[in-house]
Amino acid sequence: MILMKENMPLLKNFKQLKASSIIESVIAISIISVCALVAFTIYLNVIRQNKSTHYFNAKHNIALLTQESVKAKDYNDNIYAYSGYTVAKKVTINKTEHTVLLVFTIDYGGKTHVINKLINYDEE
Amino acid sequence: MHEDLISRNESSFNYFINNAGASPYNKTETLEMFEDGIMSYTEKKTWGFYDVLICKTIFKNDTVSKIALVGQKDNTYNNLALYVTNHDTPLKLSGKTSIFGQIKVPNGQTEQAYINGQEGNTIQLKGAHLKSADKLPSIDKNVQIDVTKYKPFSLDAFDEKPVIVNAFDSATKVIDLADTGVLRNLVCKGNIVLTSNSAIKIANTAKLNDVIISAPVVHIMSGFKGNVQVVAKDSVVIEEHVSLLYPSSIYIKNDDGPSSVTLGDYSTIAGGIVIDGDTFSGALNRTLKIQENATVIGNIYCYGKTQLKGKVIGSIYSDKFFLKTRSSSYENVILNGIINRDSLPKHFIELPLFKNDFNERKYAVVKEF
Repeated sequence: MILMKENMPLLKNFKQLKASSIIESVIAISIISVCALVAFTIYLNVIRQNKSTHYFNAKHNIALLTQESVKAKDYNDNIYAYSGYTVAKKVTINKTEHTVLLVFTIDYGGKTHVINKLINYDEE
Repeated sequence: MHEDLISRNESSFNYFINNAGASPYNKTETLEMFEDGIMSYTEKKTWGFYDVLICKTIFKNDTVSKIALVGQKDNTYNNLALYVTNHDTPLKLSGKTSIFGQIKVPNGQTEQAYINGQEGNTIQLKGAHLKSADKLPSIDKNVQIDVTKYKPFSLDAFDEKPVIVNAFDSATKVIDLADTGVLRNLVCKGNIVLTSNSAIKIANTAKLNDVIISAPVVHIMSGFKGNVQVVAKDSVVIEEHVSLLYPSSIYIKNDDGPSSVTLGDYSTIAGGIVIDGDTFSGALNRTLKIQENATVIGNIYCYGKTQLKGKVIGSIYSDKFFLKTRSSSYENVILNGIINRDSLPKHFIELPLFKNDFNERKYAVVKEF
């Protein structure tokens, strides 16, 4: 009984709480919808890339292979096999423009991606 | 992705640097590197002796750019350590003079001279001796600083200790130093021309990087350290213990009156010094003095007379040499000078002075901004 008496004012206040108006509800729903839309768009963008870790590993290795080609003046076609993917390097030398086009084709799980790099042609 | 855009811009820049010889100056050109709709925009500008190449690649809202100062590489024409024009006066070497590298001198021979009653000389020569012609090879470079198309700023428009930085893909900032007296406590970096109609004197408290100084008379005071290209008309004086870092240069072209460059004791310039003119009569009034323990790393071209007491790592082309002592003057004499072409690093990008017949200018990056 003592406990009930102590809780009585609280219960009384609860009864007096007003419900949200329709406008307030619409505003709240709108804000939640916009947030959900933004989150979903970001999520879709991430999903759309759909590239495995092999692709990113291959990109890293292609950067290294490009640097090696520049340093060692290695202008020969080659195929590099890595765990889970291969990288094929095709070289086209343009002596008039003093450039070398390196076309790297990444092959993993039946998918292929092509990355082009243009480097200086050093005749020495 | 940003990373791919950087890679694309790098490829575009590599194409541009190898084919920039044919590109016009100050004109933006469009380049589609791999025929996928991603465009790069390239532009070539002059910056003193060198050129600036700008390459920007844009995809959607993302822009990646690379800006570099470039010079000429593999200049097969300019492979001499020393060239002295043949005016029927032999080149005489004296004291502890050393020359390493191929030389072209009058009649393909050098003689020894004994100055001020010296007991003996220690001359070191290494490299072929060839005959020089009766005219100094002309250079294919005319450095012109046209500041008239820019609105000059006065230093009064800045704070008491101004820091001015300007990127090379922006319009050049021209700062008029008229009536400034001695330039102190100024920090300048990038695409900036410091100009004056009279003389500019620079104290060692000024910090200048990549800037051009254009005035009739330029005086750099002792202890200064920086990276500048000086374009003067009458004279340039570099005092003692000054370090002009690579790529720095001094250029004078004058046919109207006397002109001189003096590099003081223990001072260093990495880049080069060029004193040029169109007339032979003007050459009699053009002098270059490299004082004791001063060092030039790079190229010297003097269509006039040179007094070499210091060290040159690179090449020196001079119409004549001279030596002035307390008691007398000598013509075509080098006393205690050192010229060492062999010590110049293979990949050193020299001043683009001479025309290369074999191919268009082959550019190489001197400095990335």
